[in-house]
Amino acid sequence: MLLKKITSTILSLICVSAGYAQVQIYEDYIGAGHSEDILISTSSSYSNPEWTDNSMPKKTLNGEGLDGRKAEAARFLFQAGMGGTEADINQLAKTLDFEGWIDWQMALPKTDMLWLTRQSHQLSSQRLQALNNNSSEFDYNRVHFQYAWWHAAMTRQDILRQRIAYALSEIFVISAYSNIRNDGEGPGSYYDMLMSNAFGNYRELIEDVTYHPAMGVYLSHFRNQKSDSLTNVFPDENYARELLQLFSIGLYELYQNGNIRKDSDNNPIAAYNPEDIRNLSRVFTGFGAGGLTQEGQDAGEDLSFQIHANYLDYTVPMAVYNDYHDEEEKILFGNQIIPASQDGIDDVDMALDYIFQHPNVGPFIARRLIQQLITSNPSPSYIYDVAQVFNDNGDGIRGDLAAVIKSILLHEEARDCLWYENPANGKLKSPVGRYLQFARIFADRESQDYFWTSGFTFEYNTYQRPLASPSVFNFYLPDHQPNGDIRENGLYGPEFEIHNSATSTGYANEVDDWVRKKKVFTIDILDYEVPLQSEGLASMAQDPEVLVNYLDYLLCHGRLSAETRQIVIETLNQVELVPDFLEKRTELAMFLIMISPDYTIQK
Amino acid sequence: MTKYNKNVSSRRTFLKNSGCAALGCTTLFSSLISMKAMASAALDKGDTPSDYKALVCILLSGGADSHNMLIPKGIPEYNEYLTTRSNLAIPRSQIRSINHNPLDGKIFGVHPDMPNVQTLFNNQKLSWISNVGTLIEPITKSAYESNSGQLPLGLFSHSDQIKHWQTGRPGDRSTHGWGGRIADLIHDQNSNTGLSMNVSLSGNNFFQNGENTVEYSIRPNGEFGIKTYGTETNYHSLRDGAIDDILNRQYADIFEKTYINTFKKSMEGSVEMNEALEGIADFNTSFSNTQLSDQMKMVAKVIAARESLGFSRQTFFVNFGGWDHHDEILESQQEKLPVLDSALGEFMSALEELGVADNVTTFTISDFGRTLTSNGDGSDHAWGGNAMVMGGSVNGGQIYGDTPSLALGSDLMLPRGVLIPTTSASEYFAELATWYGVSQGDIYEIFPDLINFSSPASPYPVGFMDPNT
Repeated sequence: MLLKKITSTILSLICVSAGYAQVQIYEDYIGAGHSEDILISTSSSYSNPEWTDNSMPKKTLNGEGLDGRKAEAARFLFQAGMGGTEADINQLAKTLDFEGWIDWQMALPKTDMLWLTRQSHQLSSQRLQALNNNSSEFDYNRVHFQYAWWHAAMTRQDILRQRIAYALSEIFVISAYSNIRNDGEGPGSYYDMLMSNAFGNYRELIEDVTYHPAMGVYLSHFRNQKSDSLTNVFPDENYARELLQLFSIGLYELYQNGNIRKDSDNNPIAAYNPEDIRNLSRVFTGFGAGGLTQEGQDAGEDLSFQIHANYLDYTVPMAVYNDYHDEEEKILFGNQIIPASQDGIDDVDMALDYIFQHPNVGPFIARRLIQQLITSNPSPSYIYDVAQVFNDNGDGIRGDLAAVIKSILLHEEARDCLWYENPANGKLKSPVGRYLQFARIFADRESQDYFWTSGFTFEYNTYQRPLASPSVFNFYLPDHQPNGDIRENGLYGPEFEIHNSATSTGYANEVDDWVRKKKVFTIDILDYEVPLQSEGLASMAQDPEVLVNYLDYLLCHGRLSAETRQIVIETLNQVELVPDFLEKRTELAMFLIMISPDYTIQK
Repeated sequence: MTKYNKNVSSRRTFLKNSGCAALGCTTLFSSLISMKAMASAALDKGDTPSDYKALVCILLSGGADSHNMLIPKGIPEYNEYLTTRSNLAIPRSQIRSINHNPLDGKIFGVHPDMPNVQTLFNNQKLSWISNVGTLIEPITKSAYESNSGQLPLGLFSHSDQIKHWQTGRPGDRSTHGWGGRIADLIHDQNSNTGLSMNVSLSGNNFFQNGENTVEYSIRPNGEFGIKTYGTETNYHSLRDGAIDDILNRQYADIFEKTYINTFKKSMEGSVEMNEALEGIADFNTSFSNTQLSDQMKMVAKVIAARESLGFSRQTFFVNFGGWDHHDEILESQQEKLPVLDSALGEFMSALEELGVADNVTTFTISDFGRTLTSNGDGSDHAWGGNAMVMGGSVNGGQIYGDTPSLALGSDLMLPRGVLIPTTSASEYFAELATWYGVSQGDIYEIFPDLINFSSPASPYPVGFMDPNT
């Protein structure tokens, strides 16, 4: 019993005899009976005088338990990337060198999302053409970027960069549910921009967001004109408002630890007022197309402010046309002046500089990124520590996102076992996170060229799909408080905003499909499917405890509770011994664990 | 036998024995006790209704440009509208006529893409509330400009305004909606005290969120619960038993508990819903193939099942979003208004088939009206706007509230064509609540700002509900 609990998976046994070492590798577990007269020691300091060699620490069970390291690695990989493959987990388990892993990730070449989007369109069209001679069926904009997103998530190594880009996409939101058109170029190019900035500087990030045509169309500062009092036309305030409220500063003044500043009447202090928004909206005037699509060129159009979204090249940053730009003086935050008669790009530059320097930005971004990756209720000191890194990365630079990410992932609140004891620690994994973690581990990758899904059914069941939120407020807000204990304790749980009676069972139905139909991704119209790899699992299912232990570290990061463990094992033991009973056991174990909070809650 | 088995007797046994597993309630242990206390309090305040009433809230999220839905048609008022709205104005010849008594000598019509609304209005099943918006107290232009009045928090911000329209309390950041507060008070008047009386087709929302009430979210396709649950094979019974065990055990961790509570509530509700809806016949009314019509059709079905479910009071919530038209507003409204318009017509028709047209009142809300002035091809966040209320108990065919001048610079017009509301959302909601059967004392508690607008003597401050219903 004890032996089984120590480890359950691949194991090397070293047989030492007569002065030489002979290595035999078995792939089940200790106690399976391959060799006799082997004394298994759980201490690396054990030595026997009859041996000519001593057992080497790293090749004996040293009491830490291989599972413990794997669980730790799995947990980190979920925080840093929404999960790794089994090989990734095992690899990282050897060293648990998280900083080294981060450095390695940050140095990897960046996946090109626009290219992948275009390739996905091409390949899937070809496939559809081959099937039924008609490739015109797709609404390109809404589907191919999704294919590319999942394909990158499943095949590309830069999972940290992807994770951060995804987190940024839930803050600097654009969505398929909008007027953004033109062949997936919009989201593909926008996501590339987020990927590029993931380890860059926040100041550059907000500049790239500001000039990106997809954001211009989404928050309507594309073709935003200066005031014309004669025709009662005034600048659009949309981008100005959301830039302040959702992307940089937030509604209220903050302390560096993220707490809201209050005035003498205990009311929050507004960080900006309607006057600021009006002034800022005048900064974002004159934005127009920076590039023309081929279609536009073929139609004989010239690049100008007059170009509408239909000929807008989404991959080229917008230009600011001074003729349509408001050149009067603007004042932000009471005393930050943008002088009159400047070029539009200089106005934008100054405005972004003023916003960037606002003391709120550090804690604002820190809290949101921590909520994305680690926990919904970071302590004030966690936020403070990360905000300090934002304010100065140690080399006098403000806004260094790479340093911020490192500080979030390596902070003691994310790494030390204190998290286990703090009842306020934790978060609900987002539906996308629950799906991706599972897919990375269990998708059968042999002979798969692509990993596509449109995500529509998943969205219907869980209310989430990458870059397809219902509004600029994302799928859930940082300040959401679900009813019950979380709200009563003054805590937050953003992901619970889309966890309701429809999606709770909807998610379970998704899991049911994955484990019973044994498909991870399918697209009927393309006759395409990625199967679930489950052979290894079925053999483990001979001993339910082995299977459950395995799923524990992979899925629950070692947190599977005794109660859920008992329920699952007992259930597995009651499965009738029909011919496919091992498969049934596997299905059951995966289903029950994945619908349980042991899986869905991240600690 | 599993707890969520579709067998009727086990369901009844389960619900009888469930004790603290009070559905739609948020705390496992104290809810039953507090519900009993509240029930006796609520009963003191009014009779247990023997009739059925439902409020159907349609949220047009994003801030719908309702100044292009109810539109001045008489020449002088149209010209004011045209001047102010410039390139956003609907051509006068396209505005659909509606029969009503002139207001201050003005005549109005509705957007060309609202033929059902036109018919409903002319058949006295629908009325408009003009220039309604969030207000703590009446505001004048000079009070606004000198910052000397109490303004709703976060004026012009989506997140604040959309909340105020659901809570009826623009002076605080409460997250309990007035539909939730009403449910807290009266849900024990229903014979079904297990399932939430607040049903949502659009997930979590503030409107239906009370202290002891949360909404029961359902999907429009009529699928409830886990699809293969209850299948009669050894394998499924085994699995279902394990699911029950996972859902029914105690959890100490608050995140785990919160996750499980919702899941569990959903499973419990799914059994009842499946059974109740099984016997409901299809409507003769044919519903459009849009998500909104799907949702309204499901609302009608649940209303059809009210007796079998055991409800005399329910609320429904549907969010039809995407109205934040800073851009391309004319085209966008041309796409969305027909969807809204058809859904309203179809829903009313289904209610008439069921014979409950008088028992169901549907009303629209939105973050805010939009700026009367154009920003090029769209409009921006503003304040006062127009709302619709529909039902057999509505005094239909009227435009309620004030119809101020739409000329820039007029008395109630702030810069950019933002109208200061003349009817507060609290008055609008208070009247709906009165019709619904909530006592006046409770109404003044739910809407603390109401006292700034209407005296205690007028439970119908706006006048759109028939007091005899």
